[in-house]
Amino acid sequence: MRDRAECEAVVRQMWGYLDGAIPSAHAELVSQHVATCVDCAAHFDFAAEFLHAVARTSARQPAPDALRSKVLEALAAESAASTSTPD
Amino acid sequence: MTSIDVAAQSLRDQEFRAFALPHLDAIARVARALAGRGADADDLVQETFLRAYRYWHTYDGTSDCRRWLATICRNAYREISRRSERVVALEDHELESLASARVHSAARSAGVDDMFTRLDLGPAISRAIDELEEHYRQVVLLVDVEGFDYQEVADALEIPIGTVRSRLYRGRRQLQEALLAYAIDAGYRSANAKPD
Repeated sequence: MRDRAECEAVVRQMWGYLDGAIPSAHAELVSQHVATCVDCAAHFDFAAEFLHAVARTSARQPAPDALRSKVLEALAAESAASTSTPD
Repeated sequence: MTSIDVAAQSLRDQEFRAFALPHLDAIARVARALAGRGADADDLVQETFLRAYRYWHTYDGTSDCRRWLATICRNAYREISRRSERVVALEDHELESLASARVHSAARSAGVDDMFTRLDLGPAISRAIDELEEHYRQVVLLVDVEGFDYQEVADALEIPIGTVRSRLYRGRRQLQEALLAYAIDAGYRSANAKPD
């Protein structure tokens, strides 16, 4: 049975750890704990799987065709304007 | 304009089409995260690409073009936005990590703790992100979908990095709760779930 206070201290740093946003010394302590604590490892795995699922959704959201056309038209106008600029 | 100038511009246009325009989808997502859906976000995308086109000569060709464009987008957003300052109380962001662990415990009790690996939650995730309050949605999209780090988001939104953490962790916890409810409502149970 792990020390409940130690588990809580580790889980408090879960998101920062998964984002690589905590100091390396803290990250090392978290890694050591998670490697030997089944309950905390399950929490971290669930959180990591959640982050992967959210990241995968990005590929499903292309820009609307109307926006693409709007940008291309603006760039064409910009290019034409610079071509016709006198020396 | 001399024929050399015209040839140089033609080359620039070709390069821009080949290297910058393929990132339009990604920049549109960044703009929506920053400015919300609608005309403001579309204007921000257009402004980003116009600025990128004008300053294409400053792009070194070796760095990540998507990140270069995203930086332009963030800077453009800061300059052109007229948003009101919002005061959001700082949270104890570490408590949100604990709350997310409790969501996991609830998912395990409901027999759906493998839902992220076994279910296609894409549409449900998109809906749940859309339903987040704007200041949570912005940060979740920028960090978890577009891969910005905390400091980049803090710079873009002009908020303290502690506020980025608070909003991000709370947004994630709210998303997890929404997805847990979705999985339960959909009647999903893991093959490993204990029988009732």
